[in-house]
Amino acid sequence: MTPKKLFTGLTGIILLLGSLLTACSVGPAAPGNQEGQLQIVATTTFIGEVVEQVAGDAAQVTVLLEPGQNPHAYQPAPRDMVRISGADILFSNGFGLEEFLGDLLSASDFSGIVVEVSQGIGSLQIASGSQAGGNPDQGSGGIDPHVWLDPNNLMVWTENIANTLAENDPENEQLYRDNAARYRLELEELDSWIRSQVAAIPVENRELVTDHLSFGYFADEYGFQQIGAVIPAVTTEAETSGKELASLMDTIRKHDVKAVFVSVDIDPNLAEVVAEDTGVPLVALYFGSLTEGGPVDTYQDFMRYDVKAIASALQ
Amino acid sequence: MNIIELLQAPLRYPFMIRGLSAAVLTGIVCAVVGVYVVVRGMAFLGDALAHSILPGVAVGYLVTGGAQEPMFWWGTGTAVLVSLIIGGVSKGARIKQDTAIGIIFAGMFALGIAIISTVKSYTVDLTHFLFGDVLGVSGNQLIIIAVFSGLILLLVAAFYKEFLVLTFDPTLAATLRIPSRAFESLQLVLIALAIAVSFQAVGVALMVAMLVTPAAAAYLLTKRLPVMMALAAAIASASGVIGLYFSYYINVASGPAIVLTATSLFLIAWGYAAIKKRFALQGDKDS
Amino acid sequence: MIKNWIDRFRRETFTRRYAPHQLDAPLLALEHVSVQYETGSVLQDISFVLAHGDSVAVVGPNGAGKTTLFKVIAGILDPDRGLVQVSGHEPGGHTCIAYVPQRSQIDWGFPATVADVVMMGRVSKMGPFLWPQAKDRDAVHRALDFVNLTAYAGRQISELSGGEQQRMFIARALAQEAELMLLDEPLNGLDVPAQEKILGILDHLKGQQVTVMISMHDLRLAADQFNQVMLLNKKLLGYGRPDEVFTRQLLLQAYSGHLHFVEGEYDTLAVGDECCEGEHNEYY
Repeated sequence: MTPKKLFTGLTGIILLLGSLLTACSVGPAAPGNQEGQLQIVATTTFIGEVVEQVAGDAAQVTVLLEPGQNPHAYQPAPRDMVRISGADILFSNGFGLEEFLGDLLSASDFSGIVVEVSQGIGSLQIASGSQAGGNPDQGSGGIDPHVWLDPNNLMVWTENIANTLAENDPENEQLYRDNAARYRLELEELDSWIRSQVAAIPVENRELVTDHLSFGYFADEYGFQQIGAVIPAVTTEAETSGKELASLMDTIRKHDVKAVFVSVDIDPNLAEVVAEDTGVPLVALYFGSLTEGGPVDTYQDFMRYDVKAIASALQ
Repeated sequence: MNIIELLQAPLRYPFMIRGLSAAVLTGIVCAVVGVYVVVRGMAFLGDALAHSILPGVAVGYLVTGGAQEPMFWWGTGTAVLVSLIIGGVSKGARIKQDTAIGIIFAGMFALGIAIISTVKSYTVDLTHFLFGDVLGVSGNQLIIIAVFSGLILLLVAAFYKEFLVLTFDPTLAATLRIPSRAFESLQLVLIALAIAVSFQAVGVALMVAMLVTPAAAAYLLTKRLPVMMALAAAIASASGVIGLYFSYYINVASGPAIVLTATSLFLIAWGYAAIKKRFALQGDKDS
Repeated sequence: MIKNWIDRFRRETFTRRYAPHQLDAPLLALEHVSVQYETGSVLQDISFVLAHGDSVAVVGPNGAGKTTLFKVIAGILDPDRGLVQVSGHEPGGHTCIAYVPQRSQIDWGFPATVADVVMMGRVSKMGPFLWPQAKDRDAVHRALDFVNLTAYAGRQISELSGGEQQRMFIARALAQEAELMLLDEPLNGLDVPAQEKILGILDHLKGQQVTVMISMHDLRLAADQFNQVMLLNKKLLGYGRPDEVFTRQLLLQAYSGHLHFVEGEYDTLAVGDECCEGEHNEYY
């Protein structure tokens, strides 16, 4: 085969493949639209659970993040564009958690509405470079997005979601309101249970050292102090310096910290260094998502697991 | 805080001492092996080998679920294997060595990234693979680094003469009946091991700098091979220590900090050599 | 093909370092040696015998196969056909053969001194893990003395002139304690004084029982300085005394028309064509 023929053949194949792929990408949107059902996409598994609880059978819910994925590190894939393209409503966490969302929306042909479910929650700020969870309106290190670690915030979510669904599907409004009320009761029960667990922890032990500054809302609500984190930032994607690690170790020693809490879906490397050098054990918690067929398939399981782990470590 | 306190502060923490030890050890090993890389013009091959580790480490992660030590062995095995393949390919193939290395390099690196991107619950930071994470060196890892570094330096010392002849005049090596093929492969394997050992400190993307920059700086300062190795090792160690001190006080990743220090030292050496030459020329003119 | 690799690997790695010398065998014997490259045949059916202490100048045009012949004798290249015997054995086991390469083949920027390079010749005498001993340093010293480079021992090789580089390689071959020295066009690019120095050294070698084969382009120099010459152009066209080998007929065969003969009063002048570099040979 002469070089010329080879070249022509290759060009032809490339052009053919290119046109095929382009044709596919502008093809029909996601299939499977049951008559009348709302198509909803939720970014995190937590939002997904709340939507499912409130909407019941009246909507079909897909979640972008897979179980076990870290929302800070999440990179959307082409399949996410497919999922979004046919949706009516997209629920996101907000507060800066979904950095990927802007590009994803503009790249896909999403024509529905986007709702940040955290609207109305009093946001916590993080002072840049500080080790402690901040007060509201203090500091400039960014807003803490980890609202889901406090059941009271989920109640706000429930409210927002129910409102949105009712607006967009008035026929089923009563269903949504009933489900929302029921779910809120469950959350209130969870909240009291947590308070009782926390009460058993001596006050001086209510200090949290975590892998990153993820427990701000939990600490604020239930009376803990975030005294340090391996990566002192609100995202796992930040870098830390030797000096910050060193001062964390000093803090741990000074406060006689009993445990360092590390999420199961992040890189434990630096936390292991802290544990090795200070002799403090690492305790695994769930943080970024629920599991599927695992120990924390529901929000109730999730919070109970984490709170029990914290309580038993700090007592 | 005065200078003494600044210098002493990090040393109170075991993780910093481990990090400094790792940086110094890997610096020495890369520099000594890097002298061969520089003299034989193998910088591209060094870069390719470093990037080719990625799929091995990624597979090691997949298979073991993220444990640090198995990933090291997977990385080492991959590096050694790829070094032998590149050595074999560049001997007799129809394509030029440059091209062959480029193909292998890009393919392996892409394979690594692809594997990493398929893992859904990926918990190891890719940036640490690419740019190093010397703060995360555990006690066990340091022991492994020390043992391998010792091994590499021992082999270089033991076969110094053979490597010298092979590098300078392969024909002489053939007439002296030095098994050239075996020693060439050994040299490549030593480079691969140096890369595997230094992976933790510097990461894949900047590894070539650790191989090349200190040795190149030494080459400017001396023309005797043993002195070149010693000087390169000293420059690399200094870069490791200074770079780590930087990344202690400023929030910079360790790999880039070390490499930038090494590059600065190279520029200083270059300036010194240029000035020396200028004065020598002046001297000739005057006399 | 894999079998070839394995054989070569085994041979390279495990070859006996010191093949015994058969005392009654000639130093060098080639029988029907042929070498083929992809581009074509390079050596065809070469046969000759060299005795201890011989000194032979090998001449021929570019591409005649002189370098290839030396590589085959040194055991660096395998012939496709035929047999090479050094003191009765294959060249592969001997470390007594020194091949002095063309100077253009070397990286002169390499960080080494003259003494370093000459010491390299001793490597076969030292095993692994061993460093140069007193006897090695002595051998290097004597070798440098022989070629008058003692003052240059500590100098960087990048600072050497062409003639000094060549003498350094001869010193290396001496340090190697070579019995057979193959010099590949050592006189190329050297001015007359430098050439004379080299030839003087080779003269002294004759008294040292070192056998020498040297390739060159200058026919007259070959005829003047050497008792034995070899005329090569892929085939061995002649081997013997200069007046026997450098006949008009054989020279024409060797240089295939790129040589013209000009009849003079006493001599015949053989002048090379302008097409071939370095072929300005004056003869007789």
